[in-house]
Amino acid sequence: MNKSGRPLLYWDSNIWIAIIGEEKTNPIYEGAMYAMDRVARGEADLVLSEMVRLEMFKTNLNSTNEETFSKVLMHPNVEKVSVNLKIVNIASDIQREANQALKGKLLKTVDAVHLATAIYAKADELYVADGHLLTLNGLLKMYSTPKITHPPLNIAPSLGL
Amino acid sequence: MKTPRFTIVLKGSSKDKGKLRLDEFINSLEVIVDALKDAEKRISGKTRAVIHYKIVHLSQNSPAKITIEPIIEPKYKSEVAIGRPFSDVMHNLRFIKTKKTVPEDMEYHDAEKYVEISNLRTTHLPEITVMSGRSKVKIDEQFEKNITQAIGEDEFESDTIIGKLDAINIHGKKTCYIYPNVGAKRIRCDFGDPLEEKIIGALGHRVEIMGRVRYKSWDNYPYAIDVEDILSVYPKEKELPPFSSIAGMQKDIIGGANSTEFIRKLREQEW
Repeated sequence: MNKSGRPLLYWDSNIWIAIIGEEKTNPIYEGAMYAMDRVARGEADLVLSEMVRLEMFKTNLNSTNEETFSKVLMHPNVEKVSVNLKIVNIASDIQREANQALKGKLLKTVDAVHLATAIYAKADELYVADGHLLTLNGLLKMYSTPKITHPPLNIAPSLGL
Repeated sequence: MKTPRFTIVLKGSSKDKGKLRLDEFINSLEVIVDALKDAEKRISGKTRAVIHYKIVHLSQNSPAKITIEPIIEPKYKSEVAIGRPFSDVMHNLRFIKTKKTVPEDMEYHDAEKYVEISNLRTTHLPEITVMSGRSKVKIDEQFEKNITQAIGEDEFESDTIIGKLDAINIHGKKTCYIYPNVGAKRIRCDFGDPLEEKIIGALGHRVEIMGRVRYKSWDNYPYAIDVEDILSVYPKEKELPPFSSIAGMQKDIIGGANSTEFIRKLREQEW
């Protein structure tokens, strides 16, 4: 739980893109919309890395929508976190640990930064779309990690709601 | 059940024949009670303390001894176990004294309270002892040495901080506090004259500030920032577009590609 007493969520960049692009064909879309509703209703807090904004620059997001996106991130239950030294240290630690645990597969630096930010912020859940981070759920021991999952359609019982 | 008790023993210097100075006596009690209230807030997760302390024993004979008991209004009883602040403070004092480090879950602002307790010692008040239950810790030269070592040096980084700006003090050293949603409970902001007006104008708002942040190596979160500028003063929530306005905001954001594959390709190619 966050300081507010609400669960703290972290969304990987592809969750944001799926919502903004109304990507109904993506299997995580409905879960992503449900997660968005929870944040919009004030039932959950959201944290994101500035890395999300950097990855968003690689999309076709136009300037009007970019402005709306920036303003939406100013909501009181949403918090941006910069990629600071502590996060770099955590990312470096988990990359080392994950690369041993994944036996040959390498954890990409940006994946590590997203996970490190969720760890730094003490997020309860990290919502991802692909399997790269998903395989790390419950695997890392060095830090207390959030539950890494596809965005669920129902509230997870672990959040106690 | 026996009501928990907390005893503070203040020993005046031999030069003063063990007698205490009034201001040091009052300050000692204030600092220790403040540490108890801080511990309570940390335990309950609330922003205000509801436990009060009554004096159940007070002796003037050198050394001066004060014993207190917690009292709480029935309506607040479910918020916090009344004995917890005593055991928490004793645990932390003992931990610092024996391990020469701070407990793992302690933030710098919490640790600062124990520095304040250590700093209560003066030439007129060379020794303080606190006791609760079977636990007893002497605040002496060794404690001071250990907490100095535990706190360690500052680390610096240029960074931005987001949070609600509050608690401005413009008398003497100019400071305010930022209360972020995640991470540190609060971050002290030190600022100079040129920023005073801007900071006052942002009071009560969420802001994004940049500057040189200060960390302790053992704490993940900064405890202070030398403010260089306020990058943004966030509008009130009602003035912002609804959070849900991002849904379907731009259907061609990645030109019809699959977002999962788009991001994966980006990370595989660029990193």
